Amino acid sequence: MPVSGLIVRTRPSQARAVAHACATVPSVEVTHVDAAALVVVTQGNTEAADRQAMESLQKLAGVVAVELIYHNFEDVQAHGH
Amino acid sequence: MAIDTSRREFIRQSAHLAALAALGTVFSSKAQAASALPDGLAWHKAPCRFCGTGCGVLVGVLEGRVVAVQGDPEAPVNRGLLCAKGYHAGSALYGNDRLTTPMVRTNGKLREVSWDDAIDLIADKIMAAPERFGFYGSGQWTIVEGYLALKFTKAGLRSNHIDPNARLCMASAVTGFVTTFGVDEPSGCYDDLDACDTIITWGNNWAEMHPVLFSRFMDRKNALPDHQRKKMLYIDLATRQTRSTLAADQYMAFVPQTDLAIANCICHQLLENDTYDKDFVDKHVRLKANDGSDISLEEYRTFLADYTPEAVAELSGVPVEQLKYLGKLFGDPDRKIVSLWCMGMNQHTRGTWINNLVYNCHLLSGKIGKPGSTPFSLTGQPSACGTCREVGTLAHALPGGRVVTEESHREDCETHWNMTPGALNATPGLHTMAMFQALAAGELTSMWVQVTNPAQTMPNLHRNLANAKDRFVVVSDVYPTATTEVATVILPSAMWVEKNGVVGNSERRTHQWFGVVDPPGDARDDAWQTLAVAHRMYEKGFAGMKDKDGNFLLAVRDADGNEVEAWKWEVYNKTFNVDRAMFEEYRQLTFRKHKNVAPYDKLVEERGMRWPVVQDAQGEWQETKRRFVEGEDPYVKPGTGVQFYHAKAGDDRAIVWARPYEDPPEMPDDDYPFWLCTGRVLEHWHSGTMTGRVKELHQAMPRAYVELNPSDARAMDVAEGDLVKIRSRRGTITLPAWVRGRGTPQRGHVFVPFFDETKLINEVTLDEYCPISKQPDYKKCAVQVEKV
Repeated sequence: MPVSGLIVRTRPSQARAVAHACATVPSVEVTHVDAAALVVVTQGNTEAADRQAMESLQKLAGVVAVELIYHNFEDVQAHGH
Repeated sequence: MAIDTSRREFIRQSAHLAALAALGTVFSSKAQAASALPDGLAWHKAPCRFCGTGCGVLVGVLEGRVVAVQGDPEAPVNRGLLCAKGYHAGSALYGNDRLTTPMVRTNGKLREVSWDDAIDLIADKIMAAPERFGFYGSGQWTIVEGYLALKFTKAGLRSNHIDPNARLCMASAVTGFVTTFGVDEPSGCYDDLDACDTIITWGNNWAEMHPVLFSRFMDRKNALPDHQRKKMLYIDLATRQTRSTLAADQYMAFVPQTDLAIANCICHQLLENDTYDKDFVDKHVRLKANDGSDISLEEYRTFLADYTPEAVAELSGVPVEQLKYLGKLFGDPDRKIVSLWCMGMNQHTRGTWINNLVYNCHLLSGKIGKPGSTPFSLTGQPSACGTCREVGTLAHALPGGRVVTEESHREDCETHWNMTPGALNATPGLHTMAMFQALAAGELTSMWVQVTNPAQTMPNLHRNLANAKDRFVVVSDVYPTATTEVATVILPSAMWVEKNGVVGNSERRTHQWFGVVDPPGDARDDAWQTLAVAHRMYEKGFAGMKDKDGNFLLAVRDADGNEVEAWKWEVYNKTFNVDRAMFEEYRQLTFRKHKNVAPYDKLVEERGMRWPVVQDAQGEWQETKRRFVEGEDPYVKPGTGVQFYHAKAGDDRAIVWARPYEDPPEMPDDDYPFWLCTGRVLEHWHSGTMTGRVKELHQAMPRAYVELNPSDARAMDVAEGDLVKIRSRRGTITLPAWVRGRGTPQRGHVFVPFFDETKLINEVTLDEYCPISKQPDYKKCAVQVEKV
């Protein structure tokens, strides 16, 4: 299960609303809310699921951008084609 | 390798803390030490393996493996941010099918061989016909990898048949710089993104291709209160709608190639409305006609007479109001404009011209050499600048901005390399397109390919990779690729943080890292491979590999001047930092054109430094943010303000070239009625050989597709996922349709990405190229599009 730390940037004053909406995205946990940004930790079951969480966050209303900061894949086995 | 709950909790906390710190550092300069994270990993700095943005990354290592990456909070480029390719950066090292043993193909069958046998075979083949050998390298080469390949070819073989894949990405940017400014690489830097109020992208999808730079501007804009935010503009001048368009204040759709006319229209308006910067033009600009003759401002005005907004609207499809708006922006002395571009302007049959023309807009309006006002050429690959352009791994070039045709330039290198005067070859060699065509024709019989995948990325593959299987082709790579499929010898290579390296990004930032994990199996550094073959040739008596005293030409020496046996892997890998020694040897060649790179030991301490790096009066190494600007560039004469000190005429002026609009060589017609554009996608780096390795990430964006405009799709009765056949005069490909995909082409256009090795769109693309830069145009050709 990979673990990622992301920043979700929102329109000013929409951070709280976006934080609530994050509850609808699987494997996403909001760990900090600022004026126009959130800190989010994702723990996808797989690399693809973790990556998908970032995509899903990007699509939430009020989200301006999502930035990956930290990605840990310690327990993910190597995969080939 | 399952991890327990408590460890997972430490990792979760680390993810949170790293992101929290990055949130703070965007607006302040405080950095959170990565070593303070509870994940207990050893973190090491490195520039990112992927694009020309050159983000600083921290690589987390556990038990000899990379297990995590994070944005480096101390890196000025990205200040702790990564983009989505951060998901790939570490895991790209661990695909199941990493190449680990040298292999030779005989009668179509691959067999494993020892390094010794592989080196021997390669040395013999090259020695048999050195003038029929070509070295094809890469903008993803480290500086020393490129430097050794250049020395191998130009000094060792006295041949100029070495060229990089950067010919396919940045050549037009280079010739644009050299024809306008007399020297390569941008005057400005990323700090201009922080100071500007207007960004114009010229055929560039930076939201996906340089995401961290996009974030750098957008985060600043979005943090402003409403009334201030409205004054900051992002204008997307493009041939298709992309993720960048979603963030744009204005989207201006143009017909391919008419960027030439649009730029001229801006200049027309600057003169017509008398809003050009007279003072700047008087002091810093020289005007030239297309044939190179000097012209007056009046003659230039006459040249621009036809480029009225009305006429250009007709040609380009951009409405008159939008063209006038662009003219007004450039004519506003208080507007700070950064123009950004990349492949849309460089992969262009008039790539040199369009680079010149965007410079014209900035030169006439004086929007250059001031914080926040600059034309900025974005680089695609992580070291097209640092290696290909600065080291000079091009058919016509030598290190440090030199060219093979200049005697004094050759003398510098002959002296530095202890060669007999007059030894170097003064005739430019085969550029990339010509090199592959020569290989196809049998004029070249052998080639060494390092760190690139031409059998997927060259245009018009049927022609340009014809007969490659019948030649002696050596391929150094990390995974099997379309190019290893045609190789005679496959050499398994070390990747990224498995080796020491230095690279140079878009903003002249030279950035160093140490290898922190071992390459798998028997994979070895490309630089070692080049040294090993060179030394084997020297052992076999090949004269070219001797300097004028009979010593090994590519000798690596320690601080006392003693030769290090760097061609022996155990010496190279474990006992001596060859990267440092060869970087320092190269560094001495960077002074002539004021491209001074910082000393290696200084780079070890930093997150990159922007050249020219020069010692100040206190002996401190200082980087240069903006070249040619007094007070920032140490080489600018006091009192000049702005000095283009490499102007060919010696007058310190940049050149405004009167370049005309010209139709592209292939346009839609009755037989082939659609425009085809090709490019990259966010998820995949280039040909997908590294990013396609993690199966599950691969599943997120599995295969290539064709983007269609929804109206066109409806007219052809094509629904999402239906198969569509695309045919050009060169080849055919069948792809599933994306109608509501990430990008939307204009009507009469389609877009296909090039990452998929099972769907080679380059069998369809055109290989016409800019006659000045020799860079081909992947962005426009004519195709039929039919539902299957």
